[in-house]
Amino acid sequence: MSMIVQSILTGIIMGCIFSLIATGLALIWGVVEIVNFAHGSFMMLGMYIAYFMSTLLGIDPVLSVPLCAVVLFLWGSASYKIVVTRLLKGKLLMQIFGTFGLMMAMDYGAMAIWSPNYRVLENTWFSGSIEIGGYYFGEGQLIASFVSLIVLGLVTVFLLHTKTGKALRASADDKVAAVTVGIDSEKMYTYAWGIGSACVGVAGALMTNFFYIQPQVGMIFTFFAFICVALAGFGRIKGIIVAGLMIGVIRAVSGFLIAPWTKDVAIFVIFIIILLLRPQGLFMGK
Amino acid sequence: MDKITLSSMLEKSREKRISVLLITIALLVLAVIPFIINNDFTLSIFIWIFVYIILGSAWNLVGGYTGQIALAHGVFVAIGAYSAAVLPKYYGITPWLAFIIAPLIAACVGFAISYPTLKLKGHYFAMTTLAFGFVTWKVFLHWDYINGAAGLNIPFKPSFSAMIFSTPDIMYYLSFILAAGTIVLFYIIDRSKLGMYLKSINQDEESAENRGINVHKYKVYAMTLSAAITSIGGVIFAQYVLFVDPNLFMEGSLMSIRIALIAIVGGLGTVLGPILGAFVMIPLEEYTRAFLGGLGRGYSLFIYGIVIIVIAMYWPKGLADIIYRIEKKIKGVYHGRSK
Amino acid sequence: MADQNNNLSNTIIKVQNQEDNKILQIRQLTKRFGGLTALNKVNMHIRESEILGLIGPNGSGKTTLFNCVTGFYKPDGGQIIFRGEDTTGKRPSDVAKLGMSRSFQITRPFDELTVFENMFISQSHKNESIVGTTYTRFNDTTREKADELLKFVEIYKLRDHKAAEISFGQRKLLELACTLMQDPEMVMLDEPTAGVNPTLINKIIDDIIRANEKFGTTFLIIEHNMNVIMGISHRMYVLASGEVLREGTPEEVRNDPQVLEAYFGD
Repeated sequence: MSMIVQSILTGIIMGCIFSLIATGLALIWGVVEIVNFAHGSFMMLGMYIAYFMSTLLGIDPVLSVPLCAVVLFLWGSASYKIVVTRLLKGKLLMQIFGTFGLMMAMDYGAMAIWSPNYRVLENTWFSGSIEIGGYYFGEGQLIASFVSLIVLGLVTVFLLHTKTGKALRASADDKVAAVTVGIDSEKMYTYAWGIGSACVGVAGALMTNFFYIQPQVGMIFTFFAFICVALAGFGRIKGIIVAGLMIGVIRAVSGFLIAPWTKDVAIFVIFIIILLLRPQGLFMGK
Repeated sequence: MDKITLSSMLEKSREKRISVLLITIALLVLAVIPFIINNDFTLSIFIWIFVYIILGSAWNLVGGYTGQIALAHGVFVAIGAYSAAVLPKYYGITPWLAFIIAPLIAACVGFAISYPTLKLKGHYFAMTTLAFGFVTWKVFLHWDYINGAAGLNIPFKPSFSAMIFSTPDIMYYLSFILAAGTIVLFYIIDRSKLGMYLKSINQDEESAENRGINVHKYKVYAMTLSAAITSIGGVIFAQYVLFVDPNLFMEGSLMSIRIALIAIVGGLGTVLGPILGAFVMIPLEEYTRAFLGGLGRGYSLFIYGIVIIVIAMYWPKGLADIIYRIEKKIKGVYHGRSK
Repeated sequence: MADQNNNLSNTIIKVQNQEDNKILQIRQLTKRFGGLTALNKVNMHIRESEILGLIGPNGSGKTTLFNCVTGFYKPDGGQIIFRGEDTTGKRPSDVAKLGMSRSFQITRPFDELTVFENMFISQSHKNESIVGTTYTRFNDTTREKADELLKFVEIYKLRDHKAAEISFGQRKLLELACTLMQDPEMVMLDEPTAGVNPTLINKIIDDIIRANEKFGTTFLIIEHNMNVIMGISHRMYVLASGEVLREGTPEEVRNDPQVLEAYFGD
């Protein structure tokens, strides 16, 4: 019994990080109406940055978070300006392929530059594990979930209380109306990509504390983010957090109850089932 | 009111005669290639081109004509390949029967997965197919019946009944005939009611539905047919490579993407598209892999990714569109001169 | 013997439902969107070969009614009986196969197909085998019918042009021709003269009347242009806030004070 609780708790911890990744995707998807298949690759980029900051300059991954946020913000904005603006003019199929191509270029480019070898960080500030109330938690995971929640809080504050944030939400709600009241949609799209990518870059940096670093590590996280947003809708971060936690828990529990390799499979199967039963998602209205 | 003039009638039949002539020449050239070229590597490129003409055309039916973004056709290739490997290995049945059994299995799977999911729109359907591909991949990796991740070896014992040949020439002709047959089939479909219905669904589903076309049924039919034909390519794959494992067909959705790209580069929704796509993409991929891929560091796939981005950004209509425009210009010049 | 009984009772039900040649009956039709009731227990009927006008202020539920009848929306209550069969909740393609055509407010031809091909696709799909379509092409009968109808609306010369290339007015005519392609029992037109120049309006009206007289086709037409709809309809319904306000001849409707108020407010 306690083993199940252990998995649930581990799942919740990971779920916080999934929520951050998903929020980044939700921002892009909601405002720009394009699904970034390269989202996970952006996370991978954040991971490599944190990795090299640690191994070459001795800077702990947690301290790399601001740097990763900035770099990924720029990378995301650049990707939007260079590639996505053009894609948006075409059909949906080409949009999907375009970001898919971006994912391949980034993943295999990373492989070409940094080799396909798995890398792991050791001896960072948070590399041990803690015992709380009889349950064990990796320090890296704990701090990652903690910081993720903080960042999610910051993003929420930004969206609710700043001028740009409100403009972003308006653009997500109703593009035409937003333009009519003078909101610059180009700027909003760029911000959406920038901030969304920054979120996932931060998640990547945090994950280097306990996760392996590898060029194709991001793909599965794109899936998870998509599933989160598909189930929760882009409207409320609360919904995304709940969906993220659910995914974390399902993943951990199925890995424990069935077999380790079914960890990710279970999510997909449940995703397919839910989509078939309720195509509008779990939390969305209408 | 138009009048059908003698000269315009002659012109149409002249156009037809030119096309027939070109096609006959192309077929003759392809038919004699094994006699001219002895290089095994070059012959293998042709064999892969033919295989991908089959795969690309099959995907084109779903992605090009009907406009559905299916990204898991690697599963159907796997069904074909594994059928061909399993039948002789476990049941002592000739792999030639796989040409019947694999399409049946693939059609069932295609039908089963598409019937509930083709009601989803755009991104959701695409993601569902990716999820389906991922799940199937993982299941195959852990499925003992087919030896899981270790894959299945087909021992090299050349015989006609085993569909294993000591020279690539026979495989060349086999794949050539199947590719030609596929093109004939799609030529028929392109000009049939089905082709037009699918195109109309692609352009405006609601309008098609209102005119009495059961959009869902046609989408599912297209997917089922597509799955069946794709599996035939998989049979050839297994019999040529003599080895199958789950990663070849389903890791990272790579094969599915490659198949889709053949149709996209060549020209979606056209018969010529997958042919052009295969003749361009396959040699490109094989030669880049030969020069760069050996390093195992993903250079060739990196270039692949860039190619995909560039095509998606600048060339979504593919090569067939360019050829069509050149053809128009030539016709325009011809008209100008004859006036 | 049991079969005969079944057939007999089916026929009786059909006859009861048809009730002196009513081709369409709408009973207590209700449709809600979230908290908004778009249609509230609407009752309507159309007789065979009638031209029925449907008018009402914006947002009164006219297009919603169309969408429920054609099957695009599933009603939340009520019944739709078309040619004696209960078609409530059936999918649009099934309803179309029973002999109902519909046009859209904003024309929706297939842009990348030719005018001819647009017509082909609009032919009747009744009893069509899906697998059969893989190898069959459109036959001469279809071709001739398409020719006939394109000449009827006088856009025959455009038949090989892509639908995207023809003008707005020509698209309206194409849309009309398409609705007639399957020899429909009933055609539903959603604002067929919207945005069209006066000469063309007259032509469209003319075409509708001619089709009605020549083929006996029933028409259900939504219109905002009062001159058009009053001139062309045999009978009319006025819809307001999702309910039937008035039913009658154009004369009766034109002079009804409630109708005037619904349109022009207090």
